[in-house]
Amino acid sequence: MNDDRFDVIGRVTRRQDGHAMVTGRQLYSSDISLPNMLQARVLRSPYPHARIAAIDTSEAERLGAVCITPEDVPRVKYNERQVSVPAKTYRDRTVLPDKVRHVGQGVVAVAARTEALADRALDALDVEFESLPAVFDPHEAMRDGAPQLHDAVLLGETVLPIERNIACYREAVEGDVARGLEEADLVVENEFTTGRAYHGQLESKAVVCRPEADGGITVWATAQSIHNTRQLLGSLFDIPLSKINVQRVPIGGSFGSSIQMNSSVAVCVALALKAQKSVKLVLTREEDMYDHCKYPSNIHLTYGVKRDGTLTAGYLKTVVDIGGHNIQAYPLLGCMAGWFVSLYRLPHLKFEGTAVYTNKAPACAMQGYGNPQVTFAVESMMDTIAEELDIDPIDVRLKNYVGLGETFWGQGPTVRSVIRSCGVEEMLLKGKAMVGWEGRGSSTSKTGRFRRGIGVGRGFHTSGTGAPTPGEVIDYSTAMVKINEDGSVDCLTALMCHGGGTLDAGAKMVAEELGVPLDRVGISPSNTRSTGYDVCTHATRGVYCGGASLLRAAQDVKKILFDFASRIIDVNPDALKVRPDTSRGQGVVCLPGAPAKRITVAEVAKTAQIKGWGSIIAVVSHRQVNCPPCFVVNFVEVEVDTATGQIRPMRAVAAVDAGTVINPDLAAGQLEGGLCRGIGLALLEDTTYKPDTGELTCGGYLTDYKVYTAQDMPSLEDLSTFFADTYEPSGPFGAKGVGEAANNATAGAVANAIYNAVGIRLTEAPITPERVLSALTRDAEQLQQGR
Amino acid sequence: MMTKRRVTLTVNGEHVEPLVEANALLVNVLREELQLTGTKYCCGTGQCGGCTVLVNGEPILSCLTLAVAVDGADILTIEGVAKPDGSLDPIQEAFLDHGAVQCGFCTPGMILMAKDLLAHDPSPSEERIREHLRGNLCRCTGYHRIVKAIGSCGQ
Amino acid sequence: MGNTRILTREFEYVAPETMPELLALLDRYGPAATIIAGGTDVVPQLKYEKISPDYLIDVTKIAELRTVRRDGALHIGAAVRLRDVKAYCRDNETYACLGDALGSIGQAQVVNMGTLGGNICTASPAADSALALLVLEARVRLIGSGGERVVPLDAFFRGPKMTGMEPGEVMAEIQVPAVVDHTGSAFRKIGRVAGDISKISCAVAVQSDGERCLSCRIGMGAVGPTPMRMPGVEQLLSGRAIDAGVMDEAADRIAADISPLTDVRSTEFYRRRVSRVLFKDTFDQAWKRVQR
Ligand SMILES: Cc1cc2nc3c(=O)[nH]c(=O)nc-3n(C[C@H](O)[C@H](O)[C@H](O)COP(=O)(O)OP(=O)(O)OC[C@H]3O[C@@H](n4cnc5c(N)ncnc54)[C@H](O)[C@@H]3O)c2cc1C
Ligand code: FES
Ligand code: FES
Repeated sequence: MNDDRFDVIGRVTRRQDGHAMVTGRQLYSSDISLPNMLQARVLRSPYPHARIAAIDTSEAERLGAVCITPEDVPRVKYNERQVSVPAKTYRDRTVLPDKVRHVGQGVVAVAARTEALADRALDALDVEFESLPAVFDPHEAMRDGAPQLHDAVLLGETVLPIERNIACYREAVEGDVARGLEEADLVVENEFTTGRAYHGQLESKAVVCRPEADGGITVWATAQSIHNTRQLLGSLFDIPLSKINVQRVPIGGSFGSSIQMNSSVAVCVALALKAQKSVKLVLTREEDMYDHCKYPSNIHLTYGVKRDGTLTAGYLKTVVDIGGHNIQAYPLLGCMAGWFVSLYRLPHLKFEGTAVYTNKAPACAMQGYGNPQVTFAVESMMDTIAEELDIDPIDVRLKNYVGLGETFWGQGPTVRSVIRSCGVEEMLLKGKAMVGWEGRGSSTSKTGRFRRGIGVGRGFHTSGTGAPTPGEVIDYSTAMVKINEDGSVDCLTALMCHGGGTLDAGAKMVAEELGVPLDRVGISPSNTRSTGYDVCTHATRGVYCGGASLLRAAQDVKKILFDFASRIIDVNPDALKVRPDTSRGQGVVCLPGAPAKRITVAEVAKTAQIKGWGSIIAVVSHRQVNCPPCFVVNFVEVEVDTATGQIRPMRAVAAVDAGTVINPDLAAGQLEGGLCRGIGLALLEDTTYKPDTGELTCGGYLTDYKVYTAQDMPSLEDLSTFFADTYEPSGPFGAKGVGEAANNATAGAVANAIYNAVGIRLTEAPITPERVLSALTRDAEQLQQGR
Repeated sequence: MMTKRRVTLTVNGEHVEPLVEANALLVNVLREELQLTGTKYCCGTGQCGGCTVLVNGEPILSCLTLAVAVDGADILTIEGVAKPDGSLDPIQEAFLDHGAVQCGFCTPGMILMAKDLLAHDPSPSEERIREHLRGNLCRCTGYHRIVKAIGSCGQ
Repeated sequence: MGNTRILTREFEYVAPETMPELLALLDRYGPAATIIAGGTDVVPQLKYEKISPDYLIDVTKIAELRTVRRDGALHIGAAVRLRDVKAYCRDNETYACLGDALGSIGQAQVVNMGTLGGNICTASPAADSALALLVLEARVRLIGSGGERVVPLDAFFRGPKMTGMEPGEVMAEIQVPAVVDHTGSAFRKIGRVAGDISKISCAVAVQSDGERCLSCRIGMGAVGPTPMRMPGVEQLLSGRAIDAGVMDEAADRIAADISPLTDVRSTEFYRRRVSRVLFKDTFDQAWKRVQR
């Protein structure tokens, strides 16, 4: 797809970091090695709930290990996620705890010359646990008399007592749901669950910390936000930020699992400060799986609808099992409300969300942040409504979706804006034709052992969390752009790329704006000392927010460039243009129509240097005052083996409305990857716990936590992607996001496809063969009994 | 303390003789002793293929391989795939051209598996490619572009 | 929690090159030693801290354990890699079910590393090649310093991770008898994803005259303490003309005779339920493969 409006935007280009990746030269945190570095290991709780009665490290220390216990670390209660404003941040953990709340929680950490030695030191530790009763089910946890995980936490600076393990509660009401349901011709109601899927990023979390001579520290960590990591370390360890340098390091996948500062970062820093040596701490896979998972959901959903398919009311009630710590449940509930109300127009609505502590690994954001969970329920319900009213499911969606010109609040009640670009209809109709929707038939027409079905799901994610007024979530980015003396360009920002090509997109925008060939625009390595604040690469904000800050900086730089050029070629700066001249590998500043009035960007920059005019450089901090929805549509075809309950995804069409697409290949790659993970959420993935021990059923090993392989996915021919043709007025060059949107609609589409194949509504994800077969058996028995 | 022994390896064409303990795993010898960090640890239990290297031309999992057990072997890691002058192997080029790389963590293993496959089957069917890659997990891409890239290398 | 990145267990590694050396080492170290071949089971077991040997004895450098020989029966050295057995099966259709089983095993890398002896000695109820070999009526030759013996495979398995091998013994080879004429065989399994270890598996070898089942061997995996033969069903089918009714009867019997559990991979209900159709599918495929 080449867009004539642009030189590089929308063109397929190689990513800048690709060469290092295909040659094995890309250094991730787990690859970093420093002279004289110690290796750390962490003793982890075998109990789901226990008080730590005594710790003896003497034997381990005799082996030469440096040890830290809860006694050696700051006692400050903190929250590892620094994206919400302080007043809305729940703080319930310390660097090391005196009470463990899930199996696998770290208790004591050791560092030694080699990992083997560190492991021996772990064995030599003597820790006495006083086991406490544990609770694993959120509904049980809310009962009176259930084991209490936290007595009190801090909300901002206020002490907040915790009752019945409820970490937080959120409600949103508009209109009067009871009235809305009364006005309806049909009321539908169902309960949906999704699992505690594990991020499964291929690089387990890693951190290296070097104590510096001035009392400061340098940190290389798996992190989606280097600045938040730095600020948190500063407040925990009472080190001025000017002495903390957190390096931006490539990340081997994240999917939301490192929005927060990983708990091992503080542990590693504490060890390094005590040892006064560099320390490296890389989680093993099993430690990583005990560290985090996706927020599961349990959703009770009710809709009222008129005979013609118009929704009159919606009521969503959810209980979220957050595990042992509250990383970001409060904004999560706000977003879940936002996803719910912004999918379909609801004259009357109500949302109630309760987040509950249990003795399991803490849940955190994972691609979609509650959105795939809510959309699974909502999109399943849209099909139920269509079926009940005998309307085409696509028409129900077209009738009710929140679109152009309407207000939406995807990021929660405090983040409202108006939709200014929307490709929903285009994607639904085009996708419908591509997938052969009309020929899909109804479930009742299908017979035989293997039955195919096609389902649709639609959804959206917001591009960032920006809004006209500052809300509960911090959102802005800082970027520096500089034209070097040879006409090449440096881009410097704390923005992260997790593989989706965020920084490449930024570089393309700068190249486009400055008229410099893309291969002369470099992305500088960055760290917290050399960059201004960037909140985090999360919430699908990379291109829309981070990219916009780079674009703004480029615009400022262009002004300086034109000003300097005008002094040299004597043309009013307002009349100048700049275009890439690929034959010269240079940007050329020119006056259109006047061939004599031309000068390369390099000549301008060099002249400015020689004459002492200064560097062509600009730094910009920028907040987007909008967070437009990037819409998605998925069509999925599955084949159900009714004898074994196995489901195979056979074919899929995935589309996104990302506004102007900056990197078509990488954006399509996001859709394909999101689809694969979405199918995993729908059919395969969950972390379950042994009720007697509180251990993960899979032990934390990938041996029994399965993710799909290349052989499980539809063939090249059977998977298509496309982009809606839209332009977002508030986005850089008209762009919005893709990232999280890519998997939001998938689970719903899969469930709808299964329904279309076998006529059974499965509401419990993952929809495993075991669940399918049980449902088919129940269904057959009911049929026999004549319903 | 275990005794260390010297093993003789040819790694990416270079003769090396690291001193290793009996329980040292090949992945760690490559990553730590030889500082070839392109070989990745991701699961340690044989499930992900991130630690794949070619031993005597065949892909194995270095996280399940004792270094002492491959004494004398010829090993190719991702660092040895490009030509000595730095120019890329066609598979590497294809990965870049098809957008088959996202976070890049699975890429070394994927490229080595592709090398192995193409060495035995110069124009593999898509089905064959998918089967051959099923031991290598990629969490980012959904495999689509990886399969496409490898397919494009077929003759 | 163990450590899947490094081996924390300390041990000595020895790699004898002849059988007498190997047997002497086994005698000398006794229970302190564990045999390692491809290591695809041993190394994970070390990481999970399920075994704690002081010595690992590598059997893959012994030439006679690495050879395949044919004299009517097929003699596969215990340390022959799954990859080589798979290639052999590709060229020799008579062992179709073994080829199926090897084709279904995990990753190309595992097939390169793992050995046939290792797959059997692991004694996992879900071991794929073991199940195929069971219905091919394979025998294993065990050698100890006191002598050698040949044991039928179904007598070899005693329970999960338990075999009839005595201390000091090593598996030298797997003997697969020549397949009688008019026999077809097949292996199928159900996993969570492609190449996964079995939730449930089935192997069938059937001899037929085109209408009747003259004799058959049926094995089910991951539904009991060991890979299991199903003598009841074998008897039920022997001499019978095969039609849908008979197959239903046999499938019911399969479901009744297995003893599945609920574990991390699947449930008892599911395994019992799908055992019927998995058996039918496998039998069907084996039947179609009968050469006439
Ligand atoms: C990722 C992965 C996927 C897998 N998928 C499958 C699968 O799909 N199906 C399946 O069946 N298996 C699977 N396995 C299990 C394993 O790979 C096989 O069982 C393999 O054949 C074991 O062979 P090995 O040579 O590696 O055994 P090793 O690990 O070396 O040994 C296994 C056991 O056998 C003993 N042993 C080995 N050789 C001898 C001998 N000659 N005499 C006496 N004892 C001996 C060892 O002491 C040990 O107890 C998988 C393993 C992994 C890591
Ligand atoms: S790290 Fe070796 S297979 Fe995963
Ligand atoms: S590109 Fe990230 S795991 Fe494959």
